[in-house]
Amino acid sequence: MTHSGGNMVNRRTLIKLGTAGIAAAVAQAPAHAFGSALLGDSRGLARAIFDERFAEARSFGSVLSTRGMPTSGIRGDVAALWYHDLKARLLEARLPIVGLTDRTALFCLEELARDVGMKVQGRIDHTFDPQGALTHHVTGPSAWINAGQRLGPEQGFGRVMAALLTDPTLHGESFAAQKHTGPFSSANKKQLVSWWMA
Amino acid sequence: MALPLPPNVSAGDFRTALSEFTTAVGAQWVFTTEEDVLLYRDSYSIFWGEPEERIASAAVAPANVEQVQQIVRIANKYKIPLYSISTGRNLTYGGSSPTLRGSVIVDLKRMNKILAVDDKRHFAVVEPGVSYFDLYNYIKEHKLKVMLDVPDPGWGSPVGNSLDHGVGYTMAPFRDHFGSHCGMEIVTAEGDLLRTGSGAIPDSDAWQDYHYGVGPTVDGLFAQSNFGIVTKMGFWLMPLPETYLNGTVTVPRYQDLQAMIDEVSYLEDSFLIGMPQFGSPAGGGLFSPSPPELVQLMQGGWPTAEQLETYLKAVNKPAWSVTLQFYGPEETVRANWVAAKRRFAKAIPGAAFQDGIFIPLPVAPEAEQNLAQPIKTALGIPSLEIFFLTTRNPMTDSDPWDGHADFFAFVPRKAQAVHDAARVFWETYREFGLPAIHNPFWTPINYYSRSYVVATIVPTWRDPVKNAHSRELFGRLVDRCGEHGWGSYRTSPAFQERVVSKYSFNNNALLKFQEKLKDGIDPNGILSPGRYGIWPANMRRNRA
Repeated sequence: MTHSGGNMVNRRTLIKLGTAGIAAAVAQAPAHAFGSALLGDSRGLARAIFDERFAEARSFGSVLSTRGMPTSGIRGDVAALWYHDLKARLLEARLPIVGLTDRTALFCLEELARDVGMKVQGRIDHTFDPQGALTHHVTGPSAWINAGQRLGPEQGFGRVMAALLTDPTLHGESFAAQKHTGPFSSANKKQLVSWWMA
Repeated sequence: MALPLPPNVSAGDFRTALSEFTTAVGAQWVFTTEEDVLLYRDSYSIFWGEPEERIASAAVAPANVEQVQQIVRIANKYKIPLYSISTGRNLTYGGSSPTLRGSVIVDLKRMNKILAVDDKRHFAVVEPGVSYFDLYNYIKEHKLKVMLDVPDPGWGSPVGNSLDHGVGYTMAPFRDHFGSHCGMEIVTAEGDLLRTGSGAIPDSDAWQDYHYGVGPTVDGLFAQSNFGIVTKMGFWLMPLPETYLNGTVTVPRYQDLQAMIDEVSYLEDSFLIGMPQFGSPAGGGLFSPSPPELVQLMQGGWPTAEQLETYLKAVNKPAWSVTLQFYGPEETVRANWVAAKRRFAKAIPGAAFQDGIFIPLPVAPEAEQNLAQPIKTALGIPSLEIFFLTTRNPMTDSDPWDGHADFFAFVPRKAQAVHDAARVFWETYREFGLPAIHNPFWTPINYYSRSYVVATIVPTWRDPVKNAHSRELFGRLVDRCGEHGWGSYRTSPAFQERVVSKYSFNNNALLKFQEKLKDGIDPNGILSPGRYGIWPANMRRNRA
């Protein structure tokens, strides 16, 4: 696989690691595992954004909030968060933002983030098919591809992503993963996306 | 993806120009890496990933007018094509990508000052980087008694939106965004600075009061064109109304649409209502799936009026509806709604009425979140909800689009014209083997108060095969509508030449006149070459 600026790397993985095992590891991990080394503790992350409408995203937000990371819940629409809060903060200090949202929210944030010179550096699209099976489609540097292999077909990835997105080993390599999808997604499939912007 | 060079510019000259841009604005604000420049790709591009995709060569973000002037002078020296954007979010009409592949984007986002908002004379003056959200928040924070008219979504800028003839949703004078401007400041192709209207009198305090100045007005030259870079713009604003009220009128018969239009036109042209919102209870609504009974009826082709009247009796729903919007003191909005009902009742037998909502203004901040669309835009509150509403549209279930190219044809305010346009759309989509969402109950959109827009949407993709099909469809729509005398009121760079070609009266006299202006105003052809079909002389023979 190759990856260079703007080129999409995709690898669907159904490798089962055991979500329960991951969840336990997440729960027991010390606080510094949650991005403190990379992101310099909670002051090194501008925000973790999660969509309150989705259980996996709430789980993601809950884990990070418990660990003292700054989080913001949205209900689809990112306008209030961006224009009343995030844009001004990022203009003052451009720190990474991470999220687990639907694709429409990412699309909007991605367009808006150009104003502050930020871009999506990695993303994992989580797709539920009508039967409830889960697949994960990773776009990002090689460290992300490897990390994505730890995601299984069972639910519970929200907590896993909370650890992955703040894992310092995932963020050393610059990558461009922007503009991979438009804002529309099928109402029959529920697609969420985990992402990182810097 | 390798970035293109500007056409007809050597690599050496380009490097030198970039170096001079860096001196002018600072290295931090000159973008030359793929990662940074590809942020300006049009997310809805109908050429995504193909050689014809309009990719920029670089981008530069000036902080002020003086830096814009320097950039223009440098560009002239090396013949670098520039393409100026404000927020660059005009998705479906090209967004932040240039008309000419290889242009340098001039990103005006750093010029984001709100220079004035006056809630006694009711105007605002803004720079291009100010978004509708920015201006709205400013008005709220300072408790100013004016109301915006916003497009949907609201993440664009008043300057950018108006210069592409963008539109909104409130009263006629304000929802024509270019029409409501008063005064502009422009950097010319030679790097000079001019002001229009009474702003041409130095230090005039009437710049946003009197729009004509004296002599020929030139403001229109800077909309949908490439004659200058606008660096300031004034807008007349609506005084904050005391209240808002709406109500809906329904009429039973298919043939009632013309009478409904007559009444709506009277009310709108008398400035008694804001933007009327047409609908069809029997037809399913604009961009919604047609009711099954109507689908069944249309298996036999486009129904006759008689068949439609029979259909209406069978489904027992009104043929047409219009929601009327009233702004002003409570006494007047209630009285105007009463008057409107009286007129409809007299003009159209069987007209029925449904009171809508009544909202005292301003809306409390905590209550804004609970307002549903389209009420937010009706009250000048910018929003991004349209993306989420569209996502939920079942039309995108089976084959989700990546974006869309809007084809909005303007037609006269006549029922037959609306019906004819809907039929042309239906026939054209069928010709291309696509689901024809249009039906005889397709309704007009009244963006511009004196004309109607009949709208359709062409999907765009990340797939070149699908995009080629979409391009053919779009082109066919342009051609067929042109045969009927219907033009498009704006369009993306991919189709600008085709759309402009329909304005061909007297052997393209209008375009030739515009080209003469271009040759005089921008002899090196550096400003947004090709925008709305206006190419500089040195590129006319080699148009893509």
